[in-house]
Amino acid sequence: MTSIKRFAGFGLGLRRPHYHHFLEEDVDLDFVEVISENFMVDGGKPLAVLDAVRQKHEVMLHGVSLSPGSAHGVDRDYLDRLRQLAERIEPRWISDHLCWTRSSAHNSHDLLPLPYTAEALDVICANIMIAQDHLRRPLLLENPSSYLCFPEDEMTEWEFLAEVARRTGCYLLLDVNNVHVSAHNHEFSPADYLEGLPLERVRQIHLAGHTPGEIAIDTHDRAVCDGVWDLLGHALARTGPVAVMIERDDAIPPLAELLDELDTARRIAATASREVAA
Amino acid sequence: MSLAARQSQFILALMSDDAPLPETWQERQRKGYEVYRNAYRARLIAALEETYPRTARLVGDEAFRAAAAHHLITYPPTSWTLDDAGRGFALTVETLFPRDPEVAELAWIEWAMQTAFTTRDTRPLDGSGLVAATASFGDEAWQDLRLRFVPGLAVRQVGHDCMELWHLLGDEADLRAARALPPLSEAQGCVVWREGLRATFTMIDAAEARTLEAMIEDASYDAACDILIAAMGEERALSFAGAMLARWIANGWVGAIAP
Ligand SMILES: [Fe+2]
Repeated sequence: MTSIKRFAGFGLGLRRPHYHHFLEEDVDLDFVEVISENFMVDGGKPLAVLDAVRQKHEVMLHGVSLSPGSAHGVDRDYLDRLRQLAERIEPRWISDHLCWTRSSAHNSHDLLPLPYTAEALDVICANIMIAQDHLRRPLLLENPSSYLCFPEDEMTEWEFLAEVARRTGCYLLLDVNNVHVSAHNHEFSPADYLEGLPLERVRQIHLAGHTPGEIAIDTHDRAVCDGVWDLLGHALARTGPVAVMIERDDAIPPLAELLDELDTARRIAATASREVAA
Repeated sequence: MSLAARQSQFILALMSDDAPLPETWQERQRKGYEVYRNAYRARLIAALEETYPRTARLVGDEAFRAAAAHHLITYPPTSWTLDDAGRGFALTVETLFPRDPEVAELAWIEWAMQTAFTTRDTRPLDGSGLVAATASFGDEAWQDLRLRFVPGLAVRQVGHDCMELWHLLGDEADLRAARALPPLSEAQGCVVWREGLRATFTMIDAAEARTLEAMIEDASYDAACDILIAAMGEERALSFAGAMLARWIANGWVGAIAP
């Protein structure tokens, strides 16, 4: 399996309200990330837009339906479609989540939590190996936000994720907002989480806003909060320069507002790299 | 309990409040689970609202959400793509709103348009392509002519002026007028297809719609003409058939002449 080279830069998720900017202007970004499933179609406007954006930008494919944690196995039709899209778009890399989305019969269309057990570890590693073979490249696996921990858990999420990376050779997409949200929901320390991961395998970082509460929820509908910015600095000082981006999926503001928000990430990254140098 | 069994149980309980949760779960797990349960419903109903915005306006938000919830319980999603969640919703609303057939007609159009929007990119056959393909045709070849239509082309009979209904339910919706729209005196056909990068639809004569339906199902031109003859008599049918074929070509509905 090939390795994935580091790529440092700043990007945003490509979302429909901003298509016209990407098609008509030169948007100052190092890459865009798209939700793979939205473009795993036979033809028409979505692919025409993505082809045009690809002419100008590096593209990362970010999936939500691989369902690597399904005991039922991976969906070959899905993998075929994803490979077709990857062959067309030539993304920098392909990512999905540490989760499962479907049982043998049904699809939840949500990133559902896995029990962190030896059995689940075997399942997800086998599925990721199949997916990586099929896609002929290593994947990036993202830590999800979660709202429940199982009584049968045998290890922490970071131990589980580290072991998946070790066994499958996959890389990591570190979502610092998800670390923040899950740390709040399950009362663990975000610093412990980061310390427990093989950070040299992180190739991308996600930032997003969430809805605070007794159970914090990963809503991607508002600006990144201070706690998450702090965690970004903490993470970047350990990962070194990687691809950093903001995900915004609801209450989507004008593009200029997200570009401004991304400047905060640039400043934090600059500080982190000065700290590393010192 | 195996991971597979746990995952089946987890998903079944997302879909139904009555499905049991694991006995080992404490209050903490149950609270967390509620987040997934609410998100599942909200996400799928939102997906149906996105596919069927005009149907939702026509019946009103509350009735639409109830219909969407009913659809999701009857046909829980199985596909990896959320776009498929609304498959078959026109049939669901046909049973839920039996006295308002325009609801199912509109839902059918919205689904067919969503489907047409992302179909395979093809170049339709144009007039000169038709002339070239049929240049050597004798009578027999014409009678036996079969057409291949562009991907996404869909046709059905409708009892309402769906163009008008569509317009009344647009961004500046006139709900009162839409809900009061009387049925057509005679059924017509409605055709959905992709025109360039956008999905669109038009209304056609009922006999033409039956003819189109038959030819989509691989009927010959001769058999198609028989449908028209039965509907309008031989004399009119023959001139109608020629104009109809020209219209289909001009609309970009025909992909190719069958080999
Ligand atoms: Fe993320």
